[in-house]
Amino acid sequence: MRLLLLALVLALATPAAAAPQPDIVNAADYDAFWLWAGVAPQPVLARARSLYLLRGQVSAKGGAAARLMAQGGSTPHLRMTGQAWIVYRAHTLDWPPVIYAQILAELARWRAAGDPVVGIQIDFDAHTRHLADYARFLAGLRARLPPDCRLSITGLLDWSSQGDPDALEQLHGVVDEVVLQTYQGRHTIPGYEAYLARLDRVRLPFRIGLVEGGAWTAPPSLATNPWFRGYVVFLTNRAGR
Amino acid sequence: MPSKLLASLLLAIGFLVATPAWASGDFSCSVAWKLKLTELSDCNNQPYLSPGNDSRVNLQLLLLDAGKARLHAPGPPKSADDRYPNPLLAGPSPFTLGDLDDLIAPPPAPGSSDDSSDHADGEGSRCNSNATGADQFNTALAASPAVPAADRQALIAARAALSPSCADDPKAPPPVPPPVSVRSALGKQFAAYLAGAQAFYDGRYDVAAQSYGALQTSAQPWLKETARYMLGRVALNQAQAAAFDQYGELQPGKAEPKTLTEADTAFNAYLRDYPNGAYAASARGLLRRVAWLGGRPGDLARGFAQAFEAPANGSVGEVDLVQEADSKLLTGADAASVREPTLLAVYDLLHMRIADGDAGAKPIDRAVLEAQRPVFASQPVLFSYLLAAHAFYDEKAPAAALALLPAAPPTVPMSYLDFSCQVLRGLALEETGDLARAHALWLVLMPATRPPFQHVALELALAMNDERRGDLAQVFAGTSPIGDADLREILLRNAAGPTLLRQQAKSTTAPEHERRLALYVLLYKEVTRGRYRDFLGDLQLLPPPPPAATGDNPPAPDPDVSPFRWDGKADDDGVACPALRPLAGALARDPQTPASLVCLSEFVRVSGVRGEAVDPQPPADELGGAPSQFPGGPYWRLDAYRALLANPKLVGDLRAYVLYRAVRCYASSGANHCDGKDVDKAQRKAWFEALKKDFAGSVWARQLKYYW
Repeated sequence: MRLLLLALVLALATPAAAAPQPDIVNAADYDAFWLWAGVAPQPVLARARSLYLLRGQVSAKGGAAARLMAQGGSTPHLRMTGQAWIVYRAHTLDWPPVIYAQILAELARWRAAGDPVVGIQIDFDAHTRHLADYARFLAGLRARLPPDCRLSITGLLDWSSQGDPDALEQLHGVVDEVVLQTYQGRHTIPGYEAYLARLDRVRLPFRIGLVEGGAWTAPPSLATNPWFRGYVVFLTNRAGR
Repeated sequence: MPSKLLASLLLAIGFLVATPAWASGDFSCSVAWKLKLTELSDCNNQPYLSPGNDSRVNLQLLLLDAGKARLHAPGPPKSADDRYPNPLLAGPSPFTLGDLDDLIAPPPAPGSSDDSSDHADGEGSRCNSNATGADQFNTALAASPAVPAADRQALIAARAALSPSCADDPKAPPPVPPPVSVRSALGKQFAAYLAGAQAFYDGRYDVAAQSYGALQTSAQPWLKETARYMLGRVALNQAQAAAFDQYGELQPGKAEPKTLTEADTAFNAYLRDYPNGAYAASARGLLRRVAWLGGRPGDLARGFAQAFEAPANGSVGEVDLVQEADSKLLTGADAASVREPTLLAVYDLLHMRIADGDAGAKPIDRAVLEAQRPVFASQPVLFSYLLAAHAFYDEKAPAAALALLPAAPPTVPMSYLDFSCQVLRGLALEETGDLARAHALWLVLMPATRPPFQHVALELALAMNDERRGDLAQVFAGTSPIGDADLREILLRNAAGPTLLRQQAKSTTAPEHERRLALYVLLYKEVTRGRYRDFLGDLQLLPPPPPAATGDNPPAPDPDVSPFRWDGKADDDGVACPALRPLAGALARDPQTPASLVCLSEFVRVSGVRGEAVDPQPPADELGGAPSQFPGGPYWRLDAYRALLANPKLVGDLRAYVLYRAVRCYASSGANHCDGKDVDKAQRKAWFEALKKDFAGSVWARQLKYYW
C-alpha cells in the first residue's frame, strides 16, 4: 500500500510537459448528463440517452439525525426515451429509516409520472480508506431497493489507484455502475491521466464523469477496457453560490 | 498508514499538481491556505465577507451580526469516517458551510423523533401535510360537541382512509371519495372538508376550491380558518401546475397569473385575519413560493428579510431558510430587484467572484453597486465595505479600497462586518506593498477577535506576512500568537531555513510533533541538497529507535523519522550501499563520487523517506508559497540519474544500474514517477538500447524487458 501510494505521488509529480493538448469537453459531443438543481437546461438535453438528475441531499446539522433535503423543483415529466437516474448527494451515511422510505416514495412518484427511471445514484465522497464502510452501506441500500431499480454511485478518481482492491471487489454485485469523476468543482483534476493509467484495477462497469468546459484526453486503453460504459458530462452554468 | 502522514503525502500531491494546497485525502475538496479567496470551494470559507465564500456563509455572517443567528457550543465530534471533508481540518478556519451550520442549527431537542413524511424536507409537494392534517382534523372534531358520536366515528374513519396518491398520474382513474354517512349539520361540514381534502390531494382543484369555499363562513373556527388557508394552497397548486419544465425546474413566466394572484390574495388575507394562526408560518413560507413562482425577486427578498427577523415564527429553521434564500433568490435574482441590504450585500459579493471558470463571466459593475447606495442608507459601513471589496477584488485597486475602509481601530469584540473591514484593510495594505503596516494591524486585531473563527484567520494572515517579510523567526518565537499547528507545519516544511529548523528540532517547548517534523525536514533537505557535514551533525538529534515491538505494532510516530536510520539495504533489486551515516560521511569527503551519488538516489528511492511531502512549494499566493529560505532546490530522482549518466566516471555495473533505473522511471504507464524533468520516449529508448548493448551480460540488462 505504501509503495503504491509513493508511486502514485511520484507519478503525479511529473510535469506534463510532453502531454498532447487536451480537448475541451463540449456537451454536444456526449449523450449522458448530470443535471444539478439550478443549472439551466440546455438544448443538448434533448438528445440525452441518460440523465442523472439531482433531487436531494442527505446531511446532518448540529448533531441532529440526518435529513433528506429536496433539491430541484417538482417531479419531472421527462419526454426522453432513454434512462433517467435520480441522484442523491450524501454528506453522511448515517441514514435514519425515514430517508430510505422517502427515496422509495420518490422513485414511485417518478415512475407514476411516466419518467423512465432505471435507478438511483448516490453521490458520496467516500474516502478511499473507508471504501469498505461505504460498500457495507451500499449493500444495505441495495437490499431495500426494488429489484428493478439499479444502483449507481459516483466514485473518486483515486479509488482506481488507492482504493483497497478488496473493498472495490465488495462493490461487485451491489452497484451496477460507478461513475468516476475526473473533476473537482468546475475544473478537471490536474494529473488525471496518471490516475486513469490505473483504471485496469477497477473491475466494475464504470463510466467517466467529465465537467462541461473541462479538459479531457481519453487514454488509449480506455476504448478497449471491457468495463468502460461511456461518459457522463456534468453540465454547468454561470449561476454559482 | 497514519492519517496525518497520508494527509501530508496528499498535501504534496496537491502542491505538485498545482491545485490549491491541502488535498483532503480525496478530491472532494482541498484547502487553500490564504485569506484572499477568489474562487468557490467547499473547503475554503473564511470568517469575513468575501467573494470566495459560499454565499450562504456570507449570509450567515451578516445574520450573526444582526443577532438573527446564534452560534452555540459545538456538539460531540462526529465519527471521523462520517465527515466531510475527510480527514478533518485541524483548526476552525478555513471551514466548510457544514461546519458553520453545525454551530448555528439548534441541537436536537431531547426526545424529538423523526418525522414520517414520504417527502424530503423542502420539497414543494401538496402531500407533505397529509399526516399532520389528519391529527388536526381529529383534534378539531373532538372539540366540536355538536357532532354526535356516531358522526364523529364515521368522520375519523373517513379521514384515516384518506390516502392521497399525489402521483399526478393523468391516466389514473379519479378516486372515489369514501362515503361518509353523517346526519348532523356540523358533521356535514366536516364531511365537506374531507371531500375537499381528498380532491386537493388528488389534484382536482376545482372540486377542492368549491368544498373549501363553502366552509369559509363556517361557525366552527378550525374549519373556517383551515378552509381560508387551504383556498390559498389550492390556488397555488393551480398556478404552478404548468410552471415546471420536464426536468422539474421552474420555467420563468410559466406560472398561471390569475390563480397565482388568487393565492397571493388568499394567503395575505389569511395572515391579516390570523396573524398568529395555526398556518401563519406556513402561509408566510408559501407567500415566498408565490413570489418565486411569479418571478418577483423583490417580494421574495422582502419575504426572506421578514423571515430572518424572526426565524422561530417560520415553518423552517434558520439554516434551512438560508438554504432556501440561496437557491431560490440569490443565484437567480438581479441586483435591481433586491432592496434588502443584507441579501443585496450577499448577492453583490457573489457577483464579485470572478475566477469562476466560465468564459466571458464578468463581475458586477461598479456603477451597479453605486446605484445601490439608497438601499444601504441604513448600513453605510456595509456599503463602504462592498465598494472596497469591489475595488480590491475586481478593480485590483488596493489603494482605492483602503480609502473606503475605516482606519480607526476596531471596537471590541468585532462584529463580522468590523472584522471584514479590518481584514480587507490588512490585505489591501499588503497588496500595496506596505507589509509593515499590515503586520502591525494583524497584531492589533488579535485581542479583539471573537471565537471560534477569527483568531485563526488572523494567525494565517500574520504567518503569511511574516513569511513574506522573511521573518519566520517571529512565528516561532516564544511570544508568537501563531499557535495553529497546520500553519506552523506548513512554514517548517516549505519556508524554513536550516537554522530555524534546527532550533525547532531542538526546542524544549515545541510540541513533539513539531520537533519531529522540523528534524525530518532538516535532515532530508540537508542530505539531498549537499549539506553533508551539517547533516552528520544534526543526525545526532535523531531519537533512539523505538524498542522492537511485540504483538501489535503501535503506529509509528508522525512523521516517522526512521528512514534516517536507513541501513543501506533495498528490499527489491537495488545495489549494495552503505548505511546512511557512512554514506553521508563519504559524500562529505567527496561529494562527486558516482557510487555515493547512486546510493543517495537509493536512499531516496527505498528508505521510505518522503521528499514529495516537504520539497514542493505551495502556490505563490498561499502560505508556504514564498521562495524557501532553505538553500538549494528539490531533489528529483530522474534529474539525479541524468546527471549521473552525463558523468563519464559512472561506469560498469553502476552505469548499467542507473540506465535500468532511469528507464524504469516510466514503468509501466509511460508516466514519469521519479520526479524531475521529463525525457521523451526516444531518450528512454536510447537508454534501454545502451543498457542492452553496452551491458548485455549485466543482471540489469537481463531484468529489463521493455521500456515505456
